[in-house]
Amino acid sequence: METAWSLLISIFGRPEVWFYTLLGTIGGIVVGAIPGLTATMAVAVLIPFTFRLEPLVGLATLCGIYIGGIYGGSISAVLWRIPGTPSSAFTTLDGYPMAVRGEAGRAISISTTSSFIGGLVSIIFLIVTAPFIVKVALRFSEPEFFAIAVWGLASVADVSGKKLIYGLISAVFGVFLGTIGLDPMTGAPRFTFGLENLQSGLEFVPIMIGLFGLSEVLNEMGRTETGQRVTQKIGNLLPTWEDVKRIWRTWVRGTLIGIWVGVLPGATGGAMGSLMAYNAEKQVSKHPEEFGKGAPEGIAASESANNATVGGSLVPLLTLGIPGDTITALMIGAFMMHNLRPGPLLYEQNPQLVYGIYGSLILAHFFFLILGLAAARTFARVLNIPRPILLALIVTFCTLGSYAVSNDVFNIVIMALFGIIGFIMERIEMPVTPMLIGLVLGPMAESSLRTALKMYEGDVSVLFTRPFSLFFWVLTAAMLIIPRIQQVKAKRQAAAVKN
Amino acid sequence: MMLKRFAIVLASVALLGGALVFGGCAKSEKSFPKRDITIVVPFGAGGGTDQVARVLGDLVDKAIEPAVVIVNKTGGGGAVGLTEVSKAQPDGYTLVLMTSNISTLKWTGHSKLTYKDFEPIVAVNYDAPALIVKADSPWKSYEDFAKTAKERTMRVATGAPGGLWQAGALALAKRAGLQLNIVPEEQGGAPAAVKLLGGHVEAIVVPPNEAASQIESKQFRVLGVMAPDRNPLAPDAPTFKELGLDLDIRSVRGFLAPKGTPTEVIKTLEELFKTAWNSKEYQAYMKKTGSNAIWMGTQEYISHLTSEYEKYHALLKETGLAKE
Repeated sequence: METAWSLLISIFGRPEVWFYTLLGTIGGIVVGAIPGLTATMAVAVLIPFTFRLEPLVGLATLCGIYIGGIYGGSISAVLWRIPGTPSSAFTTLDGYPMAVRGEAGRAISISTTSSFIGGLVSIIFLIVTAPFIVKVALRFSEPEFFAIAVWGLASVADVSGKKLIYGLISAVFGVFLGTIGLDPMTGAPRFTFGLENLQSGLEFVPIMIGLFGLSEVLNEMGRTETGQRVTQKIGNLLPTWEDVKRIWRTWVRGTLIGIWVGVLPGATGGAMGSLMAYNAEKQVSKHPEEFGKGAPEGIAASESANNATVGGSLVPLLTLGIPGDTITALMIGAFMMHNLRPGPLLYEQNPQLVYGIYGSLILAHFFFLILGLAAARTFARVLNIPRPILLALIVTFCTLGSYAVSNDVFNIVIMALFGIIGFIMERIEMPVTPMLIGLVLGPMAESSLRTALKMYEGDVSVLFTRPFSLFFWVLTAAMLIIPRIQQVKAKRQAAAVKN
Repeated sequence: MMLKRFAIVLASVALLGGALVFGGCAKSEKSFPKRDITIVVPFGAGGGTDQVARVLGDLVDKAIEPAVVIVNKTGGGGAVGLTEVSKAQPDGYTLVLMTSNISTLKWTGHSKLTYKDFEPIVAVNYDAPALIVKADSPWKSYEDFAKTAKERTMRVATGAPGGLWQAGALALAKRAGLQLNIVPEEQGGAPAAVKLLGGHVEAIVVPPNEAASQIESKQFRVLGVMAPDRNPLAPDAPTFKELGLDLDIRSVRGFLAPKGTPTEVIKTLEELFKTAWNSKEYQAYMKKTGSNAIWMGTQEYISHLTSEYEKYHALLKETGLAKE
């Protein structure tokens, strides 16, 4: 432990590390905040520029971009209802309504502090417990992933709001959208209509931008009243004590869920982490009806979880050399370009580098905390731009962002299509969240079920008898049964009171 | 007065005409490449193909005046990027770096394109799948593994469905008479390595560079490589040829240009890539990543693709992965 401390201290003493991490963090926040440009894109585009730098500095910059990017997405989610990155999709649900009420500053300060806490705790977990966590994570395989996906899908019932049938339709539609592409086990094309662009399925980003951002623009255009501007209440920088008392438990839950989702190797990232945390939070809340209307817990859950997945994803990357999500997969490439391979040998051969990375990860969090809080007022003032200009800017960014996903006009068409779909869904009061859940978890459920059955040659019992998957099944059962029991109890009590 | 004016006009016209003539001369002296070259990578940023494109692209960029730009166009196992370049102007400014998927996409029904729709330039490296087990497993050699696999069914993870690694695994089972339950992994080699690490499968069939970290730290053992040469990451592991089995499942990476690109342009590109390939940086990089650096000039690459096209058709038919 002594050498670890001294290594960390020596890293903090190097000005280049501070400078490049700061640069990376600012770059990440800006790109993350621009609707349509995601953290993944920022890392992918900027990776080649870091090759010229010395390995530690180059990797420190990438860490800054990663962390800044995941945080930055929340800014446009709150201000413009467009998630800057998929990880912030669930922040829009409560962040934007809060901003519409005139509390944009409050929303931003809650999301900034939540991101900071979730992220920093996950980095500490990474530094202290990585080798242990990873051993547990390796015990997870397809049967467990299936159980987790079912748990997530079952929660659709709770996020559907009043019209359950609409929620189910939305969820099924999402699952259907997730099937478009190549079959995960046989590679056969499904619903691709001969279009090569659909062979890898629909991209999440254009759907998200269209569904949230463009649909809101269409919505605003439909409004005949003009100039209904709510003045933004710009108060304290930090969240109020009442808010903290409400959300500190959310921070704990969100962070743990986020770390865990990040650690699971594979394509599990911020989007899934924030989805799970948001769902879990809604289920344990005493006021679930507030979610979607500007509940601070909603923002806190989504943002603490999505930044916590960063630390989580870095666990398999650094300890095993295996990516925990798309961005860490890109980072393996960055390591290779510097002639380094992440994994167990890296700790032995190059401890200064590993501790250097830890140091810059910690620094990046403090940077975005300060920047985010200090800039909260300026960010909130963006909403005071005259509406027509703001809407035009949003449409521009939506279009550019969708194009940037694949350098292809096809995704602009997808974005426009989902803008219309989102607009219609809102008009008929069909909830959008179940569709997102279906889109994210549907493919995971399908491929993990089929792979599990293939692995264990059709032995269905395997799905239920393994300890970790059993845990999630019990959780699902509890989630479905307990509210019904409570309902029955409440009815009996009401009947008793009447008599 | 008029004469003076006329003289001035005549002089300017002469100068202008001269400038145009000599300007044109100067332009035609500077030949290909006159502007930026775009290399399309049909796979994701940070992956194996992307990295090779960036390393070589960077080296070529330093050697020429214009820049070399890398663009990712993912989808369909490479089909999307390939289609894009097949439709580009055949002037040598748009190229694609493609794997041997160019010889499989038609047979698996993912694309109508084949090598015949392009002008191959050069091939620069290959990856080949290997049979890999955990170091602490009871199988110290391929013979041990084969013995167990003939007695009971063994669980083996591999790469994407319809891809070459899966074809390799299926061919191994068929040609060696092994009972293997082959589980494809949609996301490719890295998750397969995770499955092996967690003990959820008993072996994996993926290229060594997709499990490099664990091979280097001696947590994994390579039992056999499906290529004519041994792999730099596991120099003690025999090739399947040495083990007496015919298994050569190389995925060769090469640059291609749209059909109709002029021969001189292809030749210039061949020379540029040859210099880059021979550089210390590229060779060291290949060794570090555990990939096999090979060189095929234009003619060699064309004849390789011609035979590979039929060979992989037969392989895919044999393993039941072909749609036609």
